[in-house]
Amino acid sequence: MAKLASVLVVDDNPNCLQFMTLAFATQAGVQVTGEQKPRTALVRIRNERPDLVVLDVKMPELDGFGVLSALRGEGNPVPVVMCSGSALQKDVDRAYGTGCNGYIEKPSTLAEYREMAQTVIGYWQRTELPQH
Amino acid sequence: MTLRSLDAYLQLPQRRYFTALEWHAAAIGSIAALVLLGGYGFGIEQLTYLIPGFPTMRLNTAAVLMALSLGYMLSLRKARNARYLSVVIAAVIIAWLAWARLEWALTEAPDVLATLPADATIACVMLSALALLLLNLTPRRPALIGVICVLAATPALYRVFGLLLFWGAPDPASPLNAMGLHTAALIAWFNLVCVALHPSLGIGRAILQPSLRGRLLRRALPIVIGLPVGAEAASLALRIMLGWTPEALFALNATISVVIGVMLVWWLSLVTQRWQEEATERAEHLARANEALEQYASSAAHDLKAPARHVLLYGELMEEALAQGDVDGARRHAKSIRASGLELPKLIDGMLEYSRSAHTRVSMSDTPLSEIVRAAAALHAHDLEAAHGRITLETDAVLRCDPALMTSLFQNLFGNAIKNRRLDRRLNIRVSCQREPELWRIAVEDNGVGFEPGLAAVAFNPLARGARAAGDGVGIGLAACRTIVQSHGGVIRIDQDHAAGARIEFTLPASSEDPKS
Repeated sequence: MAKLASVLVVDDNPNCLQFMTLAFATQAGVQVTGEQKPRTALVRIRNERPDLVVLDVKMPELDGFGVLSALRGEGNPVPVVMCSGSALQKDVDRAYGTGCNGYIEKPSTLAEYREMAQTVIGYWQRTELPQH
Repeated sequence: MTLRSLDAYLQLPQRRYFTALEWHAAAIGSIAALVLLGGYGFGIEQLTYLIPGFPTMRLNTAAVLMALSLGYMLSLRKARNARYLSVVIAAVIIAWLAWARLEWALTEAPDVLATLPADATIACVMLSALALLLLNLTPRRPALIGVICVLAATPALYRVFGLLLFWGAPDPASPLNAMGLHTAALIAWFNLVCVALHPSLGIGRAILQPSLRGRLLRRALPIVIGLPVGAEAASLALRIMLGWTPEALFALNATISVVIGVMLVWWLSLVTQRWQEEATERAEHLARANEALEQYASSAAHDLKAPARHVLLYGELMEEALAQGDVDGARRHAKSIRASGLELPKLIDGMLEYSRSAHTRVSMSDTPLSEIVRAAAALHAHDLEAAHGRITLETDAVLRCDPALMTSLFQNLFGNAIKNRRLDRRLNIRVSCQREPELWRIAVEDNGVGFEPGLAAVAFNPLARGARAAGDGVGIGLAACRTIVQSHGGVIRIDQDHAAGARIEFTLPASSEDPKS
C-alpha cells in the first residue's frame, strides 16, 4: 500500500498554485496544501513537517533558492522538488547545488500536470529519502 | 588567399591609407623622374650649381627608383594583372642590376674601396626590389619581408645620418659621399614607409586597428621616428656651432638614447597598465550588462509564458467542467481565462516602456524640478484626486536633464506611490532636492506600504515585483527609472532606513554653473 504523503506547494502565483495543488490532489494517498508567501512557507515547513515540498523558483521577496538554502542551512532534510516556468541549465545546476532533490519545468497541460504529480510522488515513494 | 586578404583589407574604412601610400610612392618616383629628366637635359653638375640642393644621383639609379615606385603602386592595385606586372618590374630590376654589376666587375679592375658606395646603392636597390617581389608573391611572410626591408634601409639610413653628422666627408671613396645622400634618402623612404607599411604585411593594419596594440603603436610611432631624427639634428647643431668631436657626439647620443629609452619603456608600461585597467573595467561592465540582459530575457520568458500557460490550462478545465455539465465551474474558468489573457498586453506594454527608456537618446536642457514634478503629477491627476493624495516639492532646483525622460521617471515613482498607498491614511508624496559638490541628490518619499526588506536589492531589475505590490504592475517601472537615471550619469537606490513608507533616492550630475540653492 502506498505511503500517505503530505505535500506543500509553494508558489506566489495563485493560478500556478491552483493547478499544482489540483494535480497533486488527484494522486491517491496525497494530502496537498498550498502557500503563496515564501516566508510563511518556511515557518509552515518547520512546523508542519510535510513529506515533500514543491517549490517555485521565481518569487518576490524570497525566491525558491532562498527558501531552499534556509532549509538546508538549518539542517532540514525535507525532500524539495523545485519547479520553474523556464528551466535554464544555470538555474537547474544552482538548484541541485543548493540541495534540491528534483527540478521540473512547469507543465502546459492538465494531463502533463497530473503526470508530473504522479512522477514526483512515485519518485518520493521509491527513494530512500528521509521520511518524517 | 593573397587577393582575398587584400580584398578584406580594402573593405576596411581606411581607404585613405592606400591613397597615402600611393602618394609616397608617387613622390619617390617623381623625384627620381626629375633627376632623370634634369640630368639628361642639363647635366647634374650644372643643375646643382644652379639649384642648390637639387637631388643628385646616378641616372641609372634614378631610372631604377622610378621603376620601383611604379611597381609598388601596381602592387597596391586590386587587379591581378597589375600585381603580375609589379612582379615583372621587380624581377627585371634585380636581373638588370645583377647583370650590370657583373659586367662592371668583368670590365674594370676590382677596387673594393672605390666601388663601395656604388655597391652599397646597388645592394640596397636590389634588396628593395626583392622586397617588392616578395610582397606580391608571398605576402604571408611579413617577417622575411620585414628583415629584407630593414637590411635595405639600414645602410641607406647610415649614409643619410652619417652625411649629416660628418658633413663634408673628405674621402670620396667613403660610403658617406655626398652623391649617396639623396639616393640613400629615397631608398630609406621607399623601404621604411612604402614597403614596411604595405597593406599585405599587416603592420599598417596593426597600427590603425582600434585595439590596445594599435593604440600603443600609434603612441610610440612618433617617438620612435622622432628620436633618431632629433638626436641627429642636435648632434649636427653641436658639431657646426660648438665644434664637438665625433667621439663626444657619440658619447652624448649613447647617453641620451639610454636615458630616453628607459623613460620610453617606463612611460609605455604606465600607458599600457592604464589601458589594461580601462579594458578590464569595460569588460566587467559588459559582463554585468550581459548578465542583466540574460536575467531580463529569463524574466521576460517566465512572465510571458505564465499567462499563456494559464489560458491553456483554464481552457482545459473549462472543457472538463462542460463535459461534466458544471456550467458554473465553466463560467468561473472562462473568467480566469479572461484575467490571464489581460495580463499579456500589460506585460508587453511594460517591456516596450522599458525598452524605450533604455534606447531613447538623451537630450539635455536646464529644466526646473518644479516643472518636471508638475508635469508628472498632471499625468496622475485623476488617481491622485481619487486617493486624496498630495505632492509636496520641498526645494526647487534647475536640473541639467532630459525633461521628457525625467517626467517619465517621476510619473513612474508617483504611480508606484499611488498603487502602494495605505488605505487608512491620506497619501503624501514629498519630493526633495539637495545640492552636493558634484551632484544633485533628489528623493521621492511616500507614506505607503513601503518595500519589503528583501526587495531593495532586486527592485530595479526588470520584471521584479514585490509581494506587497498592489495588483496591476508588471515590475517594469523601477527598472525604467534606473535606466533613465543611468543614462544621465546618476545612480538610484531605495532608502532602506526609511520605515514610514517608501523612499527612493537618485543622483544627477550637477554642472559647475548651477546655483547652489
